[in-house]
Amino acid sequence: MSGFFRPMAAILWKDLLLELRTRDVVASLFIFALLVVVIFNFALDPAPELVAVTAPGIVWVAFAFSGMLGLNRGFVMEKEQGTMDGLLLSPAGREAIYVGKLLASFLFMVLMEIMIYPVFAALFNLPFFLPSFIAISLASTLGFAAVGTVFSATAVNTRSRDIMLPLLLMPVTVPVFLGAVKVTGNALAGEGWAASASWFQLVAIFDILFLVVAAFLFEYVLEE
Amino acid sequence: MARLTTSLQQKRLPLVTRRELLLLLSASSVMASLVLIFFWVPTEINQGVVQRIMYLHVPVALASLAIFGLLFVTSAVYLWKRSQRWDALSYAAAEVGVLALTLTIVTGAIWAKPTWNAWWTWEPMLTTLLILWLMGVAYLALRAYSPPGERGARSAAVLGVLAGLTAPFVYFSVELWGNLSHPEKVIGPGRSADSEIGASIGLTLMVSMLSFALFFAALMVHRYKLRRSEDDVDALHLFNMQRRGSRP
Repeated sequence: MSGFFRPMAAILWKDLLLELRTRDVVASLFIFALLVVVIFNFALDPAPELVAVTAPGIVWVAFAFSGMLGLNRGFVMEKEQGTMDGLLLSPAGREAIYVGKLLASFLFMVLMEIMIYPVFAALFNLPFFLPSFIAISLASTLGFAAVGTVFSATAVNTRSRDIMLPLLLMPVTVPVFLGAVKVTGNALAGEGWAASASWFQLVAIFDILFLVVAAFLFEYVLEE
Repeated sequence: MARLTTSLQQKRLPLVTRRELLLLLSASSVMASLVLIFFWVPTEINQGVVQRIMYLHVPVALASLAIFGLLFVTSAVYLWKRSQRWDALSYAAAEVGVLALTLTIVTGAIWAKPTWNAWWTWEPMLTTLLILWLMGVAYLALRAYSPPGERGARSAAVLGVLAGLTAPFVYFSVELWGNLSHPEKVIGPGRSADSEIGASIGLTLMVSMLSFALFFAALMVHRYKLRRSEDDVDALHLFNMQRRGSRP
């Protein structure tokens, strides 16, 4: 077991330490998400009675686009510093690299979401604490990061890698995105958990399936 | 390399190759089904003339779904077997699949405008096809932006597998998303009271399906062969570069 957990924890810790020292990723993700929210406010000009209808879409576009920037950073950094080869040469298994990078991206995205949502709620006068919204945010972000980690490792080896990641990631994560928007809408409309049960099921199955399959496929993307 | 030299040594060429025969066969059967569609089959009573586009739309739609299914399978097999043949087949499937899906969406929109009074609705089947189209285009973009060689082939195969797995999720999630008007299912034109007319509609659809299956099979075979030649040219190029590099 230590053959998996030790290297995985080391990779995760490396990314977290780098972030603690530079504060590059989370800060830029936060500012970017805030910008998306502000732009959408002007684009849609939601009247107070329309906020509950438009808010789920706005918040998830902000989360998804900002999260994509974070996912991109994960491997671009390794590539630019030439540490990708070091990772590949290390005795860490490919699954350990996958889970370590995945958890780092997941944590950065969740941190960004925790920072941006209160600001968003204050700006649009929405409730701050919605349990089912928090649950779906964690589940959707996990699914997003599970697929995104594979695709960001793919995109980093292509020309024009910045455009490649959204092109690959968006269509595949459509179900997660739909689930997130729908459950958030239900939460804001004040409906209980029962209304969102089938969405939770769908996102949970997606998460489990794609975590397993992506962990298995990850080595094909990395291999030289 | 060995394969290339043996194929160059084959001097005797048949009058008509098997590939050309397939193309000829599919071209003539598509012509035959066009004759059936426009001159033989009676006009459907509820929808009028526009219903005739169904004889193109349904076969092309089924072909595009079959080709995307093939892309999923060949991508998985490529990752398992690592043979360039499977990669060439995946690439051919992606290109022909995107073409077929584009035709499906365009013919569907032409039918939908007079029938539903809208070019498009966000109905589960249509939305899933659109997302599939986007994934097919992403596959081609990934191939275009990857350096030639095994690495690009592997990442594309990974995309092929993930895209294939997500397709049913897309369908179910859009269905669950709901709040859209479900148009009547269009597969199988409405049977008229007159059984003879119903039979001729069924026959036309059947002939058309067969001829379009042949047509897309011919396209697939051609694209596959072309891709294999492209791979050979790449290999030759690489071989020359290496030789020049070692002896300047």
